[in-house]
Formats: sequence, structure tokens, C-alpha cells
Amino acid sequence: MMSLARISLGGAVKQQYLFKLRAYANLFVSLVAVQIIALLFTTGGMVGMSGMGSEYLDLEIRFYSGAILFVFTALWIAVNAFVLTLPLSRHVDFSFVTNRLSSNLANFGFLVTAAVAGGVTVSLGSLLLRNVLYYTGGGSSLIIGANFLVRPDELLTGAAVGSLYLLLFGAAGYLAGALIQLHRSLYVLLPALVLGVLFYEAAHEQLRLLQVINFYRLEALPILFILKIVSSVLLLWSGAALLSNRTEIG
Amino acid sequence: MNAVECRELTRYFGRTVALNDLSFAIKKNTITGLVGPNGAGKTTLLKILCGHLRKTAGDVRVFSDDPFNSLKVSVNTVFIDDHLALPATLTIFDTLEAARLFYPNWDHRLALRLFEYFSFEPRKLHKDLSKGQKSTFNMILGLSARCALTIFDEPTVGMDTAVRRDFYRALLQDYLHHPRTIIFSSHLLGEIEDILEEILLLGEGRKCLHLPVAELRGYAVGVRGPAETVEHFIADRDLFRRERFGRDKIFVAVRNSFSGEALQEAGAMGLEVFPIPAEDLCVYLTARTKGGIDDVFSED
Repeated sequence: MMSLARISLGGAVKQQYLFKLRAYANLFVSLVAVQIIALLFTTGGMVGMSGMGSEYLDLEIRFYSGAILFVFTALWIAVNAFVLTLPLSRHVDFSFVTNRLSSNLANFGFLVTAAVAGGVTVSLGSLLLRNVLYYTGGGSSLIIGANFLVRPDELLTGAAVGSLYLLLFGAAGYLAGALIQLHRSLYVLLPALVLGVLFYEAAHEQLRLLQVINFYRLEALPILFILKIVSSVLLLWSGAALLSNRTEIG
Repeated sequence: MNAVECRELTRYFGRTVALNDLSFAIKKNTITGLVGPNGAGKTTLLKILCGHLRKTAGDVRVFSDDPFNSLKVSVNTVFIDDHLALPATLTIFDTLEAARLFYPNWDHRLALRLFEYFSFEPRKLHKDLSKGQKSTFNMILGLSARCALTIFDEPTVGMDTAVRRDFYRALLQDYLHHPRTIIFSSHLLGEIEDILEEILLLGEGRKCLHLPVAELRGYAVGVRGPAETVEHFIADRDLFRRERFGRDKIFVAVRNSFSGEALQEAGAMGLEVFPIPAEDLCVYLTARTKGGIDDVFSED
């Protein structure tokens, strides 16, 4: 006679989370790959360049920035968050012990881990970028010193802010995925809608999208910034969890 | 005490009805064979029981809980079919290790011994296994999880005869040592009926039969002989099948409600009377016509 096993929601979430860390460990390898590609773009292409000159002088200023690195990492987390909502990923969860809520919560835990890994590596990546420029760009004499040196606390703040933004992108990707699972037509409609809005905004120069971005970007108070991001993420996640709580595992 | 109870369970897919007013109960610690033709609703039923699919109407209870989104049902249920999705990045050995952490009653010693017996290469990926090997590996997962409700949906796909026999033996051995509720769906009833205690037969989403296997074996008899004599002999008993063969001979399968004397008489009348195997009876009971495929070729 077999007695029934018991499990709490917390226990199930923890088990699923640890399982995902093992099963999706390869995503962290892909993170490194994506960032290396981003750095190649940055050192090769440059973000901006201006040149001027006279008879005696030829001046060229090159701006390097970690922006591409961040954009690539944001895409990485958004795409992977999206993939976590696809039927195949759900199927794997349901091959073991889970319900829809614990599967979602474990995914959120995994996304937090991914965001922190992304934020820290983006921050460190900017150091790497400086090093690469130092050794390939002719040494310190040609680099503006004030921008070249980074204080440890700046590095830490960078990692934290980067992680928070990545969390936001991850949550957006996750909600998009959960939405698309609702009906097959949304596979076409949702991307079309997003692109449509972008083109419309660009064409009409109204850029309300910018206001959304500025809502986070221009926040001067750290605690408010954190609050804004965290509450947005929770909102996106709750939406996704509600949408997917009736999903069938075909 | 029942492990599974369904009352008027109904499930639609769009306009197709997959389960139709299905009511039955499965007692704790029994092995039940779930049989029926393709499209009878077997997989739909099993996926509702393990909480993967929703019901449309009616009531379904597994360990007295609604299985949809129930963690209690999930931790006490293992569902094995040939589409079992496992992480593509884990080796099969790591997959066993991962499964071990999920199931409180997991028997790792059994898992490793079966793993070795079937000569699995620990570092292989699940996707690189052959069809039969996948089924064998999934079977190891299903047995070792030692869940109070263990569901196998067509678990022997691709397995060769030797492995299938080993599987049936292993299942029976493990069941005897650790009784639990096992539901086994298969098209090969002839192969598995020896390990089953009960049979639940579905046809077009409805329950056709739910009986102990022993009763099913004596449920029907076949009678063969000249058409008129046979018709006279079976009188108005429940007819499950009628096939013509030869010029004026027929074979019928009818409900076995004959007395011993009547059966002896039959011999004297030149009729052959023989038991109908459970597997054949299930085919007859779920067939749309009494004559089977022959009706397609019949002139009238």
C-alpha cells in the first residue's frame, strides 16, 4: 500500500527552478556568445564617429559605447523568455511534478537569474571593451581618461540597473509568449501590431514610445526607479500567469 | 477506496466529442487495462486524469481532487507515453537524476538496475535514442517514479518482443512489491491481459465494458456451423459478431449464457463452440457493424 506523497507550492517551484537551471544551462553559454558578437560589432563598427580637419591637422573622434552590448543582451533575454512559454517548454515541465502556477513561478525565478547574469556580464563587458580598445586603439594616450576608468561602485550600479532593465525585457518577452499561445492567429497579429506601432511612431514623429522609455530612464530617485521596474515586471508576470493558467498540455 | 472516479465526464475538441458521458471508478491498487480502437478517447481520458487537459463537462476526481492544476495529483501521478518531452540538453543519466528530485517515492536503485539491464549508455541524449529505446527509457522513468497512480499510454511503441516481455514482467514484479494504481492503455490486449486485473473498454468516447479480466474471458462464446443450425441454437442471445464463411456456414459471437448441457448438445448438432479471447471480444464490441470489414465487400 502506497501512501500519498505531499508537496507544497514552494517545494514544487524550487524543484522546477533547480531543474531549469540544469536543463537550460546552455542558455548561459549562448549569452556569452551573443555578447562576444556584440563586442565585435562595437569595436569594429563604432557607435558614432566625427571627423574634421584642416591643412595641418586631421582629427577623428570615435565614440564607443556599451549600448550594442546591452541591446543584444536584452534581445537574448526577451527571446529566451518567449521560448519558455512555448508548448515544448511547457511539455517538459509537465513531464515532471508541476501545475501551471508552479511552472510559471519557476520560469520567473529562472528569468531573474538570467537577468542578473545578463546585467553583471554587460557591466563587466564594458570593462572588456575598454581593455580591447586600449590594446588595439593605441594605448591610453588616445583615450579620454575620464571615461576610461570605472569605479567599482559604478560597475556595481551598472550591473544592478542593467539587471533591472533586462528583467523588464524578459517579462515583456514572457507576456508576449503567453499572449501568442492563446490563439494561433496571434503568431502573425502580435508581431504585426508591434511593428505597426513602431513604424507609425517613426513616421509621425510623435514618439509616445519615448515617453514610455523615459518613464523609467529619467527617474532620478534610485528607489523609485527600482519600484517602477519591479511593479511593471510584476504586472507583466501576473498577466502572463493569468493567461496561461488554463493552458492545455496537448 | 477509489483512486480515480469519473462521472458523466465529457470532453469536446471543437465539435468532435472525444469523451461522451463517461462514468467509471478505478479502485486503489489495481492494474487496469484501457483498451479500445483508435480514436476511442483513451489518450484524452488519460491526459485529463493527469491534469494535462481540461474536461468540458462532468466530474473527474483523482485521489479525491480535480486533477487540473492539482499539485497533489501531479506529485502522485506519472504519465508515460511515446511523446514524453524531456530536456534536449540533459543526458539520459542526468534525466534520471533530475526525475529523482521530483518524486518523493523515487526508487533510484531500481532505476539504475533497469538502466544497466537494458544496457543504456549514460551519456547519450534522449533524442539520440531509437524509438524502442526511448520507450524503454520512459518505462524506466515510469516504474522508478513509483507514483500512487502510474499511467502508461501505449508505452511499448517500437519495443521488440523481448523488451516488451521484460517490461510486462518488470511491471508485474514491481507492482507485487509495491502495489499501486496502474492504468495501462494498449492495442496489444492479448499480450497484456495476463498482467491486468480489470479492463475498461472505450468505444467512441463511451464506456463499453468495465469488468475484471477473468469475467471478460468467459463473457462470450463463438459458435461455428451451418447457418440455420447456428441461428436456431443461439436463439435471441446478445449478438456481438456474425461472419459468413464458406457457402452456407456462419460464425457468431454471442453473450455466454448457455448451460453446460446446452453446450454439450451443440456438439451433437454439429456445431463448434469455443471461447472468445478478450482481445477479439473487445474488437467486436467496439466495431461499428456486426459483420466487420466483410460488410464493406458484401453485396447486400
